[in-house]
Amino acid sequence: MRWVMLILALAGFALLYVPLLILVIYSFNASQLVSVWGGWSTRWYVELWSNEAILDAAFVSLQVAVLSATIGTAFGTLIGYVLSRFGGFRLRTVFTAMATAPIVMPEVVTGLSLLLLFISMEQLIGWPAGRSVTTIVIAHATFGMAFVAVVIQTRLAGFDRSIEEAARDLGARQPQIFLGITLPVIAPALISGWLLAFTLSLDDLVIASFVSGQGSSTLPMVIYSKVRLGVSPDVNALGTIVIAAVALGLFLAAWIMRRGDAKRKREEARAMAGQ
Amino acid sequence: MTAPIIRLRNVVKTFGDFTAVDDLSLDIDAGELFCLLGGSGSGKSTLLRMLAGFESPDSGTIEIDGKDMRGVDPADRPVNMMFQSYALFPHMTVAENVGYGLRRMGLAKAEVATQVAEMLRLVKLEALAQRKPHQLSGGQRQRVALARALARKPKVLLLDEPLSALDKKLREDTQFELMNIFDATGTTFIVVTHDQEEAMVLATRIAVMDAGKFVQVDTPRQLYEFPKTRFVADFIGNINLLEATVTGPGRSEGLAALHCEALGAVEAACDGEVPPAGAHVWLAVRPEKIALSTDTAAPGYDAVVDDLGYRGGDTQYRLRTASGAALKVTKPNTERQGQRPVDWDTPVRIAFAPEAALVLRQ
Ligand SMILES: Nc1ncnc2c1ncn2[C@@H]1O[C@H](COP(=O)(O)OP(=O)(O)OP(=O)(O)O)[C@@H](O)[C@H]1O
Ligand SMILES: [Mg+2]
Repeated sequence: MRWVMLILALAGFALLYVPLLILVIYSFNASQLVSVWGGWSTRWYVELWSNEAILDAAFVSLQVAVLSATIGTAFGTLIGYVLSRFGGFRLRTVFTAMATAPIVMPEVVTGLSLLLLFISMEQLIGWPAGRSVTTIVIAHATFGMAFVAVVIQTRLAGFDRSIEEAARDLGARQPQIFLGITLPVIAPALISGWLLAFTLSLDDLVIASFVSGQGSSTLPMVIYSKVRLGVSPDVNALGTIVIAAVALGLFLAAWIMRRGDAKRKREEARAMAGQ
Repeated sequence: MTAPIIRLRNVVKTFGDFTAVDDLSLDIDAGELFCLLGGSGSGKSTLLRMLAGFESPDSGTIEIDGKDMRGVDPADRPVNMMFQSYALFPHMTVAENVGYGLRRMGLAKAEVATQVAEMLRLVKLEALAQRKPHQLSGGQRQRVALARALARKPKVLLLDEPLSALDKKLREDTQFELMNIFDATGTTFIVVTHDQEEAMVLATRIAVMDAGKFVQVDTPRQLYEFPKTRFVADFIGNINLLEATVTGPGRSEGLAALHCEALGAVEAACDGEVPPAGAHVWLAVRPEKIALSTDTAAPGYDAVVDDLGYRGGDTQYRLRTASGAALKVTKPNTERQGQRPVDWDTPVRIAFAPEAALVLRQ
């Protein structure tokens, strides 16, 4: 029985990672033809480095990811805090569901609705002028916010509220408590929420396609349009870089969450033993 | 006569249709070490949280130091609280934890440092000032929490089960340390506990709570020797409660003659008036106040040893009287060696002075 489960688990992992592995290997293929192996080479990476369009798109993607993750984290944290702390107001369940809706909403719907919003806003107040990096940042911030709100809400659910009460008992007001006590304690969740939003933004193709404009193509958009013209080996190289970036982000997020825990457990054990 | 530091009048607190605190009135004087004692769910924490300001009463008034506390934020009350879980700020050092309340008062840095050092000396934690809470043992955390709550020099310190997270040995030492700190600060302490021994050791006065009400508010000695109800008698320490009927006044002032199913004719002291003949009452007598003799000619009542539990310092005997009722008797083991005087199934005689037994009407 254990063997069967082990084999199934391995098969699942293989399904996930073999295609990625093949892509990584082919990114080092010397041959012009994608499906023919021509020996090892790093020429596609060199070629990428001199491809203006791709470098521009990479810069746009990075810019969008950093900005939208930051904005999304700020708002998501506030939403998560309000939903888990100012309990008992009417329609709270509705708000909780609404805050997380962008996670399950089809991206096409989200993208289209945001596009409509931007167009009508432009007509009404003249901002944002056209589709640009700004509109992508706003769009990505909305769904980043939803993810961060969930992360923060989960963290706060397992949070010892008496430390907030202790702060209040010692003379602190609401904003002081939030900034001086709650925020520092949930900081690891905040950072991993930010990394999550950052990674998701790097990842997104559909929403970005709706709300981007001239000169604001993100990396996934450029890759997608290149692939539609036929897969060229430099796309493999680009894909490999994206995989590395995303893997690094996820690894960092997990590591930050766990590092504190492990260190704390060690020191706690030592303190208890020494009592 | 100074005004009480805490004055409760008809305080009621409900959660939904559940009444957690039921019409409580109480005065606590400055300088008291007052214990709220009661079983789980009796409303102790709720009352304490109303004093701290985290809950507000549905009706009734709470005055602290002569001021009505209605609508006063916890941050502005002249009380501080030590939480059961200690609630230390995990991202701050011991010194920062203790200084938190002082910084909120807007004190200068140097002044905060001086007062923090003073507090840490009080709880003997000077050496650990730069540690984080998770680098401390349970007993050390408890002392940080105490120092932090005392740092603002509150008029009243509220302590919710301050010792419950410590193991038994440490708890006993800490009880005395807590009393020393109480003496050193002169602050009024209100301690919540469900451990009756702890309450007895610590308190100047104890309020026994049950279902949101005070059953009896008295000194530890009064509670033990003159419980007003069976509930209190049973809750504080060990006691034998035997059903009885009053047959008339006793041989001397304040005594009642009873007929007791378990023993026969007995006399016992009354708190107040002697109940009328025929009244249904309970005879209450503490196990250590009963004399036990193997001399079958001794005065008293017949019984047989059913069971005995050797507890080191004393031995608890479970006896069966002639009528089959169970009775607990404890005897201190004052001698190290020598014969165990009473064994299983030994016929014995038991006796107690009428003044050592109490008539309870409810
Ligand atoms: N916020 C709340 N909402 C609903 N019910 C509550 C709330 N706080 C307390 N209660 C109820 O009020 C009753 C008294 O609670 P309280 O915490 O005062 O008990 P306690 O005497 O401190 O008990 P323990 O020894 O278990 O701490 C309990 O039945 C509890 O379930
Ligand atoms: Mg409690």
